Amino acid sequence: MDFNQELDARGLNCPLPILRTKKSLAGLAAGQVLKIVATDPGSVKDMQAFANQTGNVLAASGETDGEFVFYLRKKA
Amino acid sequence: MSSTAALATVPATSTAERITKLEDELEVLKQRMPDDKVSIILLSGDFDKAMAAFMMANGAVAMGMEVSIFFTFWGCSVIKKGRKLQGKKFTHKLINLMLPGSAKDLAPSKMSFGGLGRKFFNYMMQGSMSSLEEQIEIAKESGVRFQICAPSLGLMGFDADEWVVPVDVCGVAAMYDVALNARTAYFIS
Repeated sequence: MDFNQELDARGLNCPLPILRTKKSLAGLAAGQVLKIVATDPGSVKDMQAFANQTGNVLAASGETDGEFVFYLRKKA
Repeated sequence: MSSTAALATVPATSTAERITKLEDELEVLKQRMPDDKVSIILLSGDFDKAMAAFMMANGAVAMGMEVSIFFTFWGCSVIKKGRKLQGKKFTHKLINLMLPGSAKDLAPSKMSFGGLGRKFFNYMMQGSMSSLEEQIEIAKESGVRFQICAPSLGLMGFDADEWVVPVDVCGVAAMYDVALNARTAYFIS
């Protein structure tokens, strides 16, 4: 999936991945996509909840080799 | 509200009047609707409870909520700059000698082992979790609002400039002013 910016949240634990995500999204324009790579297993549920609450869209997510990848599309 | 009370006694005869009445009632309801705010009251000065308070605060900020923390009694020690005795009267010096100097001196509520417990937790958290001191810094940077209990300041002899974060010194009224508008409120003891 195409993205405009990547956030390396590897090694960070709750609540740092979503805090950094919020910070990174602030620098993006509406409709742009942020790719987040995290290693915290809690981030799977947290990123979904973050999307639900903030209105940004979790366009895709997945796991490869113990790393969790999320694509968030900034809301309009 | 006097306007609603007055309206309630007048029978709504036309659609326009009914709409006006509904609008008035809606306005009252809107004012009483809590916002997406989180209000945390921290009574405890235990390391684990302070940690929970700040993680909850920072998580809420990340979710786009407004957050306020009200520090009272033992909780005040969490945001102290250090142990300040100068200019304090004897009893205040005494209590400040016994209280933790700052966040780094807080002991966990269980498994304290005379200070070893905290060192152990610090070691365990290294590299995998941000420390309490870092969490406090993050909360400060992300615009969490801090209030501190005026009676606690008087009782423990704390000064208005002893804190690592900007604080509003206030009483319960100002705390409720924030808490009543918060959808979620926590009391951590």
